[in-house]
Amino acid sequence: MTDTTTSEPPVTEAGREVAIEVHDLCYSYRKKDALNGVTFQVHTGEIHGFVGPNGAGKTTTLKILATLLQPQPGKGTARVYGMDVDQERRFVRERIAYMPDHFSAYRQMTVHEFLDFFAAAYGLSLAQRDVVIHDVLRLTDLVGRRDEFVKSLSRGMQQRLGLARVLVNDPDLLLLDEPASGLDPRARIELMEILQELSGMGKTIFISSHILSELSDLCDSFTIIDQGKVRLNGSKAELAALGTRISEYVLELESPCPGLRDALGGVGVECEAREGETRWLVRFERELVSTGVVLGAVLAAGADPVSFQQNLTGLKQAFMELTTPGVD
Amino acid sequence: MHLPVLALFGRYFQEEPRQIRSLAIKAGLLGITFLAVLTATQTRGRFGAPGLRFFSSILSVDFLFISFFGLELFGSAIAEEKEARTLGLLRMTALSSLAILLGKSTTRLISVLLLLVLQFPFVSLAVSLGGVSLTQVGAAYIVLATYTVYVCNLALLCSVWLPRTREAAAMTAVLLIASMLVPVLAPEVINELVSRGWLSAHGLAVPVMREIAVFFRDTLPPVRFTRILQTGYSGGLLGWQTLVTVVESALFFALAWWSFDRCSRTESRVGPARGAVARRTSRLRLVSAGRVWHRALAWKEFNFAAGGKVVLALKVLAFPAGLVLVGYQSRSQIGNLHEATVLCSRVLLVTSLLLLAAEASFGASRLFWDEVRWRTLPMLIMLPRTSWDLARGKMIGFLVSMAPAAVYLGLGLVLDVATGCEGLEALVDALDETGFWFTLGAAALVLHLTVWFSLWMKSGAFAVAIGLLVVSVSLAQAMVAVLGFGTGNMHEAVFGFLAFLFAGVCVPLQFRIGRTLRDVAGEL
Repeated sequence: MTDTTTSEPPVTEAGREVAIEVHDLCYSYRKKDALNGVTFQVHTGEIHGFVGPNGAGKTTTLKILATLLQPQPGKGTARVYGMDVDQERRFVRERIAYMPDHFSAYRQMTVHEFLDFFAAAYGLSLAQRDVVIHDVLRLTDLVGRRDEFVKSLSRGMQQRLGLARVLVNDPDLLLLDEPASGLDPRARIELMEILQELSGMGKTIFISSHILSELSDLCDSFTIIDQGKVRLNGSKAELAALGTRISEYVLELESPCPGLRDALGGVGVECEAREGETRWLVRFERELVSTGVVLGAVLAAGADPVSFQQNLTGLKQAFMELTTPGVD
Repeated sequence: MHLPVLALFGRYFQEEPRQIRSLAIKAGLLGITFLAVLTATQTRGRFGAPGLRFFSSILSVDFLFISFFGLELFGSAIAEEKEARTLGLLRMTALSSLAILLGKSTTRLISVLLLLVLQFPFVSLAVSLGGVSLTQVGAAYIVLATYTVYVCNLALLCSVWLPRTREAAAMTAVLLIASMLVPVLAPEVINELVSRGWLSAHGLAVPVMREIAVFFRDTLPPVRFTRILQTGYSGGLLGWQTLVTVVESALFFALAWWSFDRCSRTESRVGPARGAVARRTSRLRLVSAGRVWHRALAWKEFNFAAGGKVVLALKVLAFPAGLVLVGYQSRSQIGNLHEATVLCSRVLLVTSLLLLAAEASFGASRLFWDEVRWRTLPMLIMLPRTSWDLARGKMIGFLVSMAPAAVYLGLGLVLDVATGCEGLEALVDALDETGFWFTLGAAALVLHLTVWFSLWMKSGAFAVAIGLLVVSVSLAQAMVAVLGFGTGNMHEAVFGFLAFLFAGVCVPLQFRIGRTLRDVAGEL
């Protein structure tokens, strides 16, 4: 481990700071390749979705970024805020926090003891600890549970406690591995709200998840990984523009339009809507049909559009198109 | 016909030979046997009845081996399934309660009995060395075998009743000690009660109680061993002890079977135990963990691994209580203050040294084991600290809990110096300078190996470390014997070199432990 202090984070040509920079990263477990030349970037302040089927290499990448796995020599680089995750791991650890895909905690402790322990382990003074613990408990809505045993908390609360734990050292980057798995819908929504709040506080969040609909709402950018290779890395807009062959839009009408289905069908657009409805889901191949042509057909059919928005389930489409079926 | 219980037998006997713990224990036991044979052949000219001496040492080792390693081995039979939350799955199969109990406990019992059988031909050499007959060897081995059955079934009962292996092993240890002490102390207690007039010496009650106590005392394995190894032993292979122990074992098994369904209906309390540490908000806040110390890891280990303030207080009180008990037992031999002080210093020196050794080995085996077991190691590794910082923080927690034993050791030394250094002289006589450094080096190596093994072994790290040490010492002893270094400076040189080697190996081991910590954290 080197004793060099950290350099400033690298900046892209567009002037944005880079929080995570992974270049040509390979990793293999004995003879099985887990990562095969993974390259992507995540900018500071973003919520970045890391998506892929089981066995794609998500957790391996996260563990390397979290300094838990040592990158294999000569097999690519992984940097966090410009620091090498292996050579400068102590400094990296001061700026990141990692929440694994399983809830692990000292279940015999109370919520307060658990957070107090980690705050002290990060070197905070007694006064600082009081403030920090109060803040993270309030943020995660666990104030009323501070004297309860960790083991007595529900799964959703335990996950929130896990999040509270990673926040005690005020990290700049949160690495979250499947934080919403096993949670009921309410707990998932609450967790996503907390993540949005954290993003508003300027944290960079790197989140791996299978729940694509929630990720597409939450994230600013995505990386899709499959069989150890990055299939796509870009912003939400880039995902929509580059990653998918099929575009999906939601069309809202002022009033029902009986001839619209035929009109759209005439220009090669599939649509879903019941007769008499004002909300239409339209799909078309980007290379064959432009959005202008679609809107022209809508107007020509005598419809009165209120809105025409790209459907965010584009992530789902991209995922299905870019990843290999049946991978486990 | 395929019996479902055979699936459990098959699984155990397929897995058991591949376990490092199992191999190390077998190697350790074999090494001890080898060491004892060597010692007996080397000293046969100096002492009479070398066969008897050799056989007595083997019996002692086997008895301790079954008593210590059997606790966890047999205590894990059912508790390990509870901890892994697989007992419910087992109960859903075609296996009956009886089949599960037999499949889980008998397999372990057979593996230990096979070890004894394997050892028997080597031990029979004692007969040719002289001083012991084949009947004595056979009778002693039957006592050992029945004692193994007894420990197995007692531990099985505790394993059924309690949710964790650790608790089952502790409970078994307490019951074993009680079963040894009660028959020994009972006649004296009865005499005391009679002398104080609290029990009437007239009537049948007192003689019957005395007879029962004496009967059970005679069935204790150490008492039976003493009888068997007496010169001119004329008893047979079997004795009352055999029958009583088998009946007691059968009762324990029947009780385990009877309570199995009731105790395995729920898989409760799976997770690390809090012990006697109260919550800050409870009425017992005096024994709560309090606010986290500046050294957070030391706070955690002291409270949640070493038992916290309650266990510390118990240790502080246990020494004076022990002194009072020993003093009371030896009151007839104490004539003046000097003799009382000598007794105090000896008791303090011996018990505190033993306790320190036990606590150090416990601390080493638990240093990172719980973090691996409960998958909390990644959280610790992610702290901006080195592995050495983490280990040091944890060790401080254990050292705080060892403070009472250290203080009483100091007190024992002060008393010993004040009364003429008899205890220290005895220690110096027992260990020459080479022996002292060798013991220190070996202890350091065992503690390091225990920490390392505990990172990737489910259980038995300390046992394996001890086993490896015994094997290496046996090899060194063999080398000394074969090369004719048995006497003089060469013997000291070999063991001095070993002390240096053991201490030297600890340095690369520390780096290895750090590396393994990170590897294990990455895998969790």
